[in-house]
Amino acid sequence: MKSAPAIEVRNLSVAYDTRPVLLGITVDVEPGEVVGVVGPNGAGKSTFFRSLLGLVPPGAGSIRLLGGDARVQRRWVAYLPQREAIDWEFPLVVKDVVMMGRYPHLGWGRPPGSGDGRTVAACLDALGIADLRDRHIGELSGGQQQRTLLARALAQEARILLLDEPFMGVDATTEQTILALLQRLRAEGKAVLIVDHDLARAGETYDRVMLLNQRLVAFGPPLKVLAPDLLRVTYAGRLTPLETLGQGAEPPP
Amino acid sequence: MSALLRLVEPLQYTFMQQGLAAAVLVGAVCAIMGSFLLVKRWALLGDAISHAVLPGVAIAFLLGLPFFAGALVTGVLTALGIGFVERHTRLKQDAAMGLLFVSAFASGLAIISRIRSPVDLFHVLFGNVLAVSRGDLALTAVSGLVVVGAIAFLFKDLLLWAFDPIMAESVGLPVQALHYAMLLLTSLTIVASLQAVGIVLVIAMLIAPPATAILLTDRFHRMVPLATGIGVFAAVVGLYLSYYLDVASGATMVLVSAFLFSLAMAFSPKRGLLPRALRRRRAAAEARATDYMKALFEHPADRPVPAETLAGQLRDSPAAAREAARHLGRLGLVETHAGGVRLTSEGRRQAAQAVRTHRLWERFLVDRAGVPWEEVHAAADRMEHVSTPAVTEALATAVGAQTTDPHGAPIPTEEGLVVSRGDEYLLSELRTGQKAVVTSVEDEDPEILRTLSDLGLLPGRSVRLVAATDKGLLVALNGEERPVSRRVARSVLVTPAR
Repeated sequence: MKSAPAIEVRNLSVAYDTRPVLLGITVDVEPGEVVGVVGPNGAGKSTFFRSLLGLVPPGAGSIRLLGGDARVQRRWVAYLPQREAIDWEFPLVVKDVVMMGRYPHLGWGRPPGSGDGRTVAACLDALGIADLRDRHIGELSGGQQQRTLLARALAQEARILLLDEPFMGVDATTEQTILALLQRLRAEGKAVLIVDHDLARAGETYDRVMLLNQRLVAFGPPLKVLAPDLLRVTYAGRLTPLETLGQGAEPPP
Repeated sequence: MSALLRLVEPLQYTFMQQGLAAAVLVGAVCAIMGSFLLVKRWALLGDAISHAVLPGVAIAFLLGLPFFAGALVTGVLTALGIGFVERHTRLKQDAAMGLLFVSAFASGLAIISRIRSPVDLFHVLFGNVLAVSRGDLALTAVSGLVVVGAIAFLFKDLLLWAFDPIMAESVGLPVQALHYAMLLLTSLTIVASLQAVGIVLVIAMLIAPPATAILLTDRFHRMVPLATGIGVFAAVVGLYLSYYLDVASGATMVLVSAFLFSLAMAFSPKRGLLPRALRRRRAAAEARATDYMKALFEHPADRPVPAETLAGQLRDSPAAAREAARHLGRLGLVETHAGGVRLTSEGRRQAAQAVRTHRLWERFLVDRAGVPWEEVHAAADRMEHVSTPAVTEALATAVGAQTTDPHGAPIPTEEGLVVSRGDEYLLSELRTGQKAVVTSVEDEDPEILRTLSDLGLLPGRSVRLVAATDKGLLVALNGEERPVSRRVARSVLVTPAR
């Protein structure tokens, strides 16, 4: 028997006041799939994530997660916010932030236990930031901050990960760490959605790509989806991303 | 009277015992609640709620109800009203807050002035911990326990909500309920503190201890107990000051809190102004000492160099040069002789390392990073002072088999040896008609370096002195005759051709 899709979105529409942001989105994402979400600014990528997280109510349509009611399953969803969304002056060290990934699994009034501590230590190791565990988060580089947030998502032991521009402004080491992490998540059967503006990387890295601009323009294997005509529709004549396509659409040698 | 007696003696009075208990409770509860308000950036909301309890106190008196019930109701209502105005108008939270809390405060004043109540306005506004009754104390204790108990139970949820509300909501925390719980707990804290510090001053007890603690630790888990200790200390010390100096107790408690904050701001090991200034000074002194050793390194190892010569070389005052020499002497890096100072063997090793790092950086910045030749000196100078030996050796690998910096000066080896290039003369020391090869040029002044670049007077080039006059030299370069000023000529070292 085939297991249920990790994410089932049916005919999802979302509007802020009267302005439609997403129209009639229908997608299934399978466990073990790493999906790139590509589209211009204002295409509704963040809103799509926010709907999956239950932060905005759908105007129409439905969302099911892990074969069940989205409201019940949400603690299995980890979200990596954009780095600017976090207050890095907050009095926390790296391991404190990563420990927050364990909070959804603890009951009311229960502090983390030693098992949670071991999970946190393993996640710090996985992201290569074990030696920074006692560093204040404001003293980290951009890449280290990104890795801290990823370690937190990992500590949540989520089955669905939504990563909002994890590659934005990070160093080469962090990029490599994230790419290796994606391999591991794929092997562990997690469903991963990633907002990425780099079409070359999208072409090489992701199992499938969603082209989003209010509507779902295309959804499929990267080499089919990242085609000039579809991109032109998605970006509505904005040429900047098309220029990187030359390298992106070529199959790797 | 001994100090101990001064502490114990007042406690024979019941009002002092009850005051002390109230001070401890208020100091602790305010600090714990305030820690969350501070990191949630709700400090001003605390102030707004505290002012908004005034009409509640007045109305409760009119209706013959316990004052805390009224205070709690108007406090919470105002907090909700601020949210309502914010959502339904274009105003942001600061304006909505300013509008509502002053309105509530004014209506409280209006009622109290009209009814000529026995409600002592001064006590409600500024508190008097020495006038706390048994009933008040019980109320403070119960409210305080409720606040501390609720926060202990919700600790991790409130922390997650304060740090990352998006994640809190997405993993299913009832964020709306937490929001209202925080408003209610803040109001309760303020009501509990009313008798001791009053509604105008309570904000200081809420914010000052956590603000002090956040300067002393990087972790919220430590900040809360630290703030609690500071809050209790400030309240108790304030109480005694009030007793002995006969000053309003709310004022003394707040002033002690503010004083502790100023101490932390000045002396906090990591973030204090003073330790930071000291660290900066130490770094600057180390950089100066390194420059001094590098200058000495340019001189022959066996001959002491007069301080004045070094001062000239570093464009520094002789007094500063002598001070640097004394500092390095204490570290065993230089020795002072009759004729001047000289590097010890350890000093020589460290100086060679510094020179090596500097010149490798110059080479790297020019060859690998494409920084213009005339601008690398200043950049390399800064990089040199923050580079570890591992960085230096990584640079050496990156630049490959280069033995000189871009200006022609030799790069010392890892062992600190400098390859001697035989006789070097200033360009101006050549005889007319003599041929030579440029070995190195001075590296600091970008103006001169640009001129040398334009002339093509670069390390490795052959040059012949055509004529020397007072104003300058005429040299032949690549078959062309070019004039060179005396000043520029002094920055070029050459080896005569044989």
